[in-house]
Amino acid sequence: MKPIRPIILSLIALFFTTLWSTPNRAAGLMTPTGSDLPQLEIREHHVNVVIEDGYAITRVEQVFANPHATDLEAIYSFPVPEKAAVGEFTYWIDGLPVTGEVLEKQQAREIYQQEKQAGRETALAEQDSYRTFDIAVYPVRAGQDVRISLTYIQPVHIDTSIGRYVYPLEEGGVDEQKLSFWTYQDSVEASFSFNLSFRSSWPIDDFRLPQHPQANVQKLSDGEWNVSMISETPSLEEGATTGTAPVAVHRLDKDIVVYWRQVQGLPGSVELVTYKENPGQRGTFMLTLTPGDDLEPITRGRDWVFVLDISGSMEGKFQSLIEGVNRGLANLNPDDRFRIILFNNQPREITHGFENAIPENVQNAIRALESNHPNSGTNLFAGLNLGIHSLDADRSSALVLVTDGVANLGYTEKQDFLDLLEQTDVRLFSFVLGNSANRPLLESMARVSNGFAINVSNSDDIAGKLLEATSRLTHEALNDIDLRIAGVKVGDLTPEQFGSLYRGQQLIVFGHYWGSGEASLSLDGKVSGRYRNYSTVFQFPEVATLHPEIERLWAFAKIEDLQNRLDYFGEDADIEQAITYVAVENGLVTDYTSMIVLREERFQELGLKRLNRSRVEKEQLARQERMVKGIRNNRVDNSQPMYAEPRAGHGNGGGAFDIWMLLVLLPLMILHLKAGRRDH
Amino acid sequence: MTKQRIPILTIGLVTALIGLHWLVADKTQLYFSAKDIWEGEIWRIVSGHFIHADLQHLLWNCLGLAVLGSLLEYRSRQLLLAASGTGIVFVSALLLTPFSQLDYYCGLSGVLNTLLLVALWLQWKLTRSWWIFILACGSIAKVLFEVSQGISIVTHISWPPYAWSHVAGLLGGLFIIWIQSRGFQDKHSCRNLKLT
Repeated sequence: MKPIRPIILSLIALFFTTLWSTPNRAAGLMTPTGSDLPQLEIREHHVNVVIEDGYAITRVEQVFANPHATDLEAIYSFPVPEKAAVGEFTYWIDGLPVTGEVLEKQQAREIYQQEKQAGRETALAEQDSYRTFDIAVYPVRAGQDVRISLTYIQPVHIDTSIGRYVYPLEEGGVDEQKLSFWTYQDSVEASFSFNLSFRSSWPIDDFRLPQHPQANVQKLSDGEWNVSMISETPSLEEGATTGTAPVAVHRLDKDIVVYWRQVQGLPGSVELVTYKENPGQRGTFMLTLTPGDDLEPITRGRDWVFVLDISGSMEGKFQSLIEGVNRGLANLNPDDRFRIILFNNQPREITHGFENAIPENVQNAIRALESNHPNSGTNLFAGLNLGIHSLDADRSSALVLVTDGVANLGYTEKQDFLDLLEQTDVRLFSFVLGNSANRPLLESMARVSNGFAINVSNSDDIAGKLLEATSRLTHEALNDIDLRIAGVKVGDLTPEQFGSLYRGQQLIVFGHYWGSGEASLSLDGKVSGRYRNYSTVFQFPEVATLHPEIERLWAFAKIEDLQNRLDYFGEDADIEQAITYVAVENGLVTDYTSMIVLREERFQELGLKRLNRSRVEKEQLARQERMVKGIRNNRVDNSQPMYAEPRAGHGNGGGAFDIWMLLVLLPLMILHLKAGRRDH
Repeated sequence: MTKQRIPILTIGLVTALIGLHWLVADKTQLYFSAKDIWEGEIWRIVSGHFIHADLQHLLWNCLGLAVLGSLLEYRSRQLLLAASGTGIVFVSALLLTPFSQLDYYCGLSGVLNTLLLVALWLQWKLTRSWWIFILACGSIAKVLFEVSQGISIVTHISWPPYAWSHVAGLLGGLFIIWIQSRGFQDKHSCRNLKLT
C-alpha cells in the first residue's frame, strides 16, 4: 500500500472521524413550530444538473401540494450551495412559467407582501446569509398544486484530478434559533429524481456517488457520463393500494455528492470560456489554470497545532473524533511536534506545550482528550487565539482548525478574526464540516493566512477527501501569486487577490475583455522563496455566444470580492450599493437582493423591467445549442503549453532512480571495469 | 572472455524508453492499470514499466538502465533478459494485488532494482569485494527508508513515489540469484559468468 505521511494520517483521521451520525435537519417545507397551520406536501422534487465547460448548472423543479381546505403559503428552505449564483426562479401561474426579476431585498419583500395581501400569485427567493436559500410561494390553493423551479450556477473545481459536485440538502443544525422556530417537512411524496449530465473534453475514468449506491451511472464515452436516480410512488397498475396515507419516496435529508476522476497523466493546462455577443461589445471570460505537478514534497519536521471544536453541536461525533485523533497521532513522524487545543465556551490546551509525536506523548494526549465532553457554545476566537499564541516562531508551523459551527461567543465579528490571523505568520487549514458552518468566515481566514479551507459534507466520500487533504499538505505551495494578461485589454479581474495555490488546486479567474486577438498570460509566484514564472499565449475570440452564464459567474465572483472588502473595512454604503447594483444588473440573489415572481401583467403595472427574463431566455437557448454542438475542448495553451509537467493526480505511483543511486552505480561500474581488465 | 562488447539489447531498451516517451501522444493507454489489465488490456503489464511520467523520471531510469543493463549484458544477454522479465513479473504481480491500491503505475525503477541486485551479486561472485556488500546494504536501506517514509529521497517526479515497487524488484533479483545459485542457469550464462 502507498505509505502516507503520518501527519497527514492524523489530519485525515481527525476530520473524517468527525463526520457525525447525529440526526440533522434537512431541506424542506417549513411550518412554524407549535402553530395550527396545516402542513403542505412536497409532491415532486426533480433535480437536473449539467456539468460542462467548467461550471455546473443545477435546476431544481418542485411541486408543492395543499391537501387542505384553505389556501396556504409554502416556505421552502435549503442550504446555500457552495459559490452558487441563483439567477433563475420560475413560478407556474395559470399553467404557464413566469420567470422572476431581481430587486433590492427590502423592495422585493414589500412587493411580495403586497401581492400576497391582494390574494395574487407571487413567489420570493431570498438568501439568508451563508445559511439557506428561502423560497416563499403564495398561494397554494386549497386542494391544488403549485410548481416552481430554481436554477443556480457554480464553477466546478477539479482538485488533484478529482472533481466534486454537491447537491446540499442536509441542514447542519447550528442555527438553533431558526431550528427551534420552524418545523421541517422533508418528505417527497410522489416523485423524486436526480439527473446529472457530465460532459468534458478531458477523459474521465471513474464516476461515483458513494452515499447513493442506487444511482445509475452510465458512461457514454470517455468524457460523457450520466447519472440518474428516480423514485416514484408505484402506479395503481403496479400494485399501489388506494386509501392509504402517502409514503415518502425520498427524504431531502442527505447531501448528494458526486465524484469524478480524470485519467492520470493529463497535461497541466489553461482553459478559456468566453461570452461576447458582438465584436464591439465588452466580453466576459473564465480562465481556468490547472497547474502541472511541479511542487516539491515537504519532508522536514513541522509543528502542528490542532484546534478542535467541542461545542454542543459536536455531540455525537466526539467518540469518533477521539478515535481518529488517536489513530492519527500514533502515526506521527517523531520529527513532527503537536499540541491540541479544545474550545467551546473557553479554550484550553490538553497537551503540555509542544510534544514530539512519540507513543507515550500520544497516549497521554488521547487520555486527556477522552476526559472531555462536548457541550456549550462556540468561542472560536478564543480557541484560535490560544492556538496562535502557542506557536514556536523558530519552527515551520501550521494551525489545523476543525469546526462545524458558527462563532457565537466572545469575539464573533469577521474583522476580529482577520486581524488575529494577520498578526502571525501561520497557515490556517480549516476543515469546515457540514452545510451550516460559517463558510465565509472560515474561508476568509484561510485566505488571509495563505492556507485553505476544505468543505466537508456529511455525505462526503472519506477516501476522496483524504486524498485531497493529503496532497495539499505534503507539498509546497505557490505563494504571492501575480497574474497578468497583456496584448488584449482586460479588466474587472476577480478574485482580486489570489493568495496561494496548493498542489492539485486550480486557479479560476473571471474578467472582462475588450477587442480580440492574441494575448499573453503570465503567472508569477514564489515557492519557498524562489521566484517561479509560467507563461503562454492564447486568443480572445471576437464573438462567442455559447456561454452567457459566464456573466453571472463573473458577477458572483465580483460580489464575493466586494463582500471581502466589506469585511475588511466594515459597513460601507458605497460597497453595499455596488453589490446591489452588480446583483440586480446580472440577476443574482444575494444578501442584498432577492428574486420575485409576479403575474406577468403585474410586472408591467409596477414598472419592473423584464431584464432577467431576457437573460434567462438567452441562457436557455445557449444550453440547447451547446447540447447540439457536442463536447468542446476549451484548452488554449496547446501551441505553447504553460506547464511542462502533467497535472497532479491521485491513485498513481512511480519511482525513479536518483542521485543516491549514483553512489551505488559508480562503484559498481568501477569494480566491473577492474574485473574486465583482469579478464583480459 | 565474452565477445558481447556492444550492449545492443541495452541500447535498444534505452532507445525504446526514450522513443515511447516522446512518440506516444496518449500515454494513458500504456500505464500499468490493474483494472484495465483485468478487463483485457494485457499489454499494460509490460508497457507500464516502459512509460514514464515526466522527463526527470525518464532520464534517471535511462541512466540506471544504461549502467545496469550494460553490466549484465556484458556478462550475458540472456541474463539481462531473464532479470528484466523477472523484474516485470514481480513488480506486476505486486501491482495486480489489492495491496498496491494504485490505479496507475509507470516507470522502470522497480525492474531496475531487480537488475541492480543481480548486478551486485555478479560482481560479488567475480570480485568478492566487500564494497559490493556495502553497496547492497546501502541500496536495500534506501529502499526501506523510502517505504517507511513514503517519499523519494531526492528525485521528485510528477507522480507520487511508490517505493513498494522497488521492494518487489529486489525480491525479483533475489529470485534470479536463487535460481542461478541452484545451478539452473543456462550453459551460456554459466560459461560467461565463470560461476561453475
